[in-house]
Amino acid sequence: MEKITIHVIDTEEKTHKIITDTNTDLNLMEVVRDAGFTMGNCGGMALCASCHCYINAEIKVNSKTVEEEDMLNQLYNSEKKSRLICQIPIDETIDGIVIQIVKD
Amino acid sequence: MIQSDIIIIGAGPCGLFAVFEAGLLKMRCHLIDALPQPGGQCSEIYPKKPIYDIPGYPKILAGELIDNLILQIEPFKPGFTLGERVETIKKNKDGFFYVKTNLGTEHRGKVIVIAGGLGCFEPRKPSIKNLSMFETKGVDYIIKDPQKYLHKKVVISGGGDSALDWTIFLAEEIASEVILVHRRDTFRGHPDSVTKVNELAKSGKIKLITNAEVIELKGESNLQYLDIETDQGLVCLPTDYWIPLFGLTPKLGPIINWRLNLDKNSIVVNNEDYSTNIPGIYAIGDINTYPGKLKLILSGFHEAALMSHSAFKYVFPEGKKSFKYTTVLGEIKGF
Repeated sequence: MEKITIHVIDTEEKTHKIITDTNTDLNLMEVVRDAGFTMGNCGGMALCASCHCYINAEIKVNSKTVEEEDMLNQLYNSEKKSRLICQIPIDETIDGIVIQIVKD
Repeated sequence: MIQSDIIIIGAGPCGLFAVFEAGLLKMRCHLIDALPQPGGQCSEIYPKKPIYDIPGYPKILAGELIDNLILQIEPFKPGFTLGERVETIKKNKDGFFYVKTNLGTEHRGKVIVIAGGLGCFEPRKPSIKNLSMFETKGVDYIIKDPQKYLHKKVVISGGGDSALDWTIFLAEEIASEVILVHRRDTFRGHPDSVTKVNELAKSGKIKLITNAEVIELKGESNLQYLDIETDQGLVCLPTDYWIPLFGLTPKLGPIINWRLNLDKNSIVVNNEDYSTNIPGIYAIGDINTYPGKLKLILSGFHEAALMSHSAFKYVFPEGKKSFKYTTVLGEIKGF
């Protein structure tokens, strides 16, 4: 079983480390939420932006869908590095990713 | 004063179904919701998304589920207070709860059911230092009465359907000047709305400022100027109103002041009947928590049924509850 590490910077700038399995069919929001962070209001449909995070550039993640772009486009604090992390699947390619939770 | 047996705070699917279960036991309900329409996030966030785990429906759109629930509870003639947020709850010596909304509407009931889902949907507010100084003094997050902007200069911020639709409406009918400010150079609202906004900009009826954002508000007592950062530099615009439309986000809101036992953003309940630590107040659906809680609509429906049977003792202290299947009752007669 492959394990990866996720670094989460919370809204108070504290960093947390999450180690998770890659064969769980979960997305990044679900893993971060299960670690105790409040997010995922819409359940992971890219419809609420409660999982809006900034992603560090070093790790290449999947492309945004039209639905995710639509939601990010509405936010006042979205940046190029913005992602709704419910749209990022958990796999070995994101090992070491640093995500910063954006204060709503 | 609006009178009912059960005051239901939250008109999402669980709140709506609670009307049905309470109605079967002859208890009258009144629903209050901060959103202007019933349905909670099913209506507000994902009305066109199919749901696959509603028993008996292999697939149903969230909006259709709400329509069906409203039809199902119609015989029990629930009251609705929509677009208002419950601010205070008090229990008086007469044994009744007294509830007041942000607009001052007062309610009286023997039982309160909190079916608030994720909390109240509130507008996302941009992080600008002196924003709160100008709230209701030129900054509006929701347009309640468009006539307020008659012959006024209005700046709207946002890139979604709401920003586009209000830009079109105010420019065509109401305001003397409309400027739409957006952080990007493309809009992702409904294609017809995007086309219309671009046409209005071309014909000079509105002004579009893209790749830009409002960064500072200025004024004596009311809003007078906006500083807007653009890729061409800083622009200072005179305006009467600024309407930032960045969508809605749920917040627990006044619930934290109601002396309920909370765990993170959820109300702790006894899962025998979904009662809270305050006798006569129940919490059902996504707003509650208990060991093994699953945030599913179907769980909320089950909770509504058990809650109603428990609430009966407060509404009819001397009454004898009879439990009958709807198949035995026949067609729902209601009130």
